Amino acid sequence: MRELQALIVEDSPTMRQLLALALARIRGLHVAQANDGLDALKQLASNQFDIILTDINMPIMDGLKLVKRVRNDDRYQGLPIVIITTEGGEEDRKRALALGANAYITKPIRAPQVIETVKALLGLS
Amino acid sequence: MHDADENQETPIDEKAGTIRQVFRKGEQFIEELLAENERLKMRVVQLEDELQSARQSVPPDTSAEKLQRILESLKKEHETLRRRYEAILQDSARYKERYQSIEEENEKMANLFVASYQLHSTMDFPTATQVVIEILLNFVGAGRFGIFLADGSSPSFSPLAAHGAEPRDLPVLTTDNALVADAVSTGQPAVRDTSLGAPTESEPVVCVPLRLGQEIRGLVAIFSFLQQKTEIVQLDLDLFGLLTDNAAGVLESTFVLGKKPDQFQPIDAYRRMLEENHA
Repeated sequence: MRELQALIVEDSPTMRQLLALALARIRGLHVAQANDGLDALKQLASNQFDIILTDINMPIMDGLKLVKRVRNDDRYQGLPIVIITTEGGEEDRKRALALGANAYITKPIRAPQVIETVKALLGLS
Repeated sequence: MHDADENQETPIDEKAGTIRQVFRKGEQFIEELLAENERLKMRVVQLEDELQSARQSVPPDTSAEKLQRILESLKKEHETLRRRYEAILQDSARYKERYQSIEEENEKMANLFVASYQLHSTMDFPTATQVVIEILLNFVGAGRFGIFLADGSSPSFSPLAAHGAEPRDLPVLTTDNALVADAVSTGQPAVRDTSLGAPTESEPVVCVPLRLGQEIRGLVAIFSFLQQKTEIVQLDLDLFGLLTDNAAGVLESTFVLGKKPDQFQPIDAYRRMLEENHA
């Protein structure tokens, strides 16, 4: 059976490492990382991912543009997207969900919340 | 620079891997115990059914005495199984509690590992400052806060960097503030007593001293938390402790290195320093 693949899109190395450590606890889930939306699109073109976790505020291409681009591509219609937001990002969160993101996680990041959200979207028990 | 660092397997990565393996084994052990618990539950139900069918299948001509003995024996077996079932339920509850405790410990270690790793993985002063801010924002959930550095000989601390406000909009902190005085005198993070009521905008709710050796070289002052952050938990206190013991050293060494990038000397210079120290 193919290994599940998650893509973390974050410009902060600190956040990327924290999210990757949390996701590493889901058995059978391989984690890849991208620095921004553009990097994520490049990786999407060459790899098959099962879920994306993305920050909103990033240089070059932000999370909202990434969600829009992914949802406008027929190949990724069913790909779950989780956005990571702060309390001040209410508008961004609403916009991302309207654009097609499936769920959101708020800071501070807690591993159980990340694991629960990802497992639910991947249909893992 | 970060990408290259991230791609290298460091001893810290190996230790983190080992820690993850230990916790995975713990999870597997608990899952096996829960499965055994389920199996025994099923066995109790099965034996109860067998008892019922045994009662029904006894021939009508069997003597009352024999029936009584069978009944007593079945009752004893039932009682034994019931006790065993209850013991397993208690074990299961204990393991569940232990599992939750391990989960919390696991999360704490992961957070401390990442915070420490990132703090010590840069030689660039602005990046080091940003890492401190990210730890407070993303790990702790601080909303409005600043990094303050000691103002030379005067016992005051001026804002260097901030989140949720411009540094210039934050107050200069002195030991006239009880929380600052507490943090400076004890060298330990100080948290405002909630019984004191809501603080003013210029009063910190948490004050984290940044120590270099025994000297307080700066402070982290948190004025408010993110809306969804409702309480300060043990993990936050552990992260404050990590900043107390490490942040000042990292900030100062990266600053010095930034000012004098040619600070790195040939190995002979390092050897001489060691020899002078031993002499």
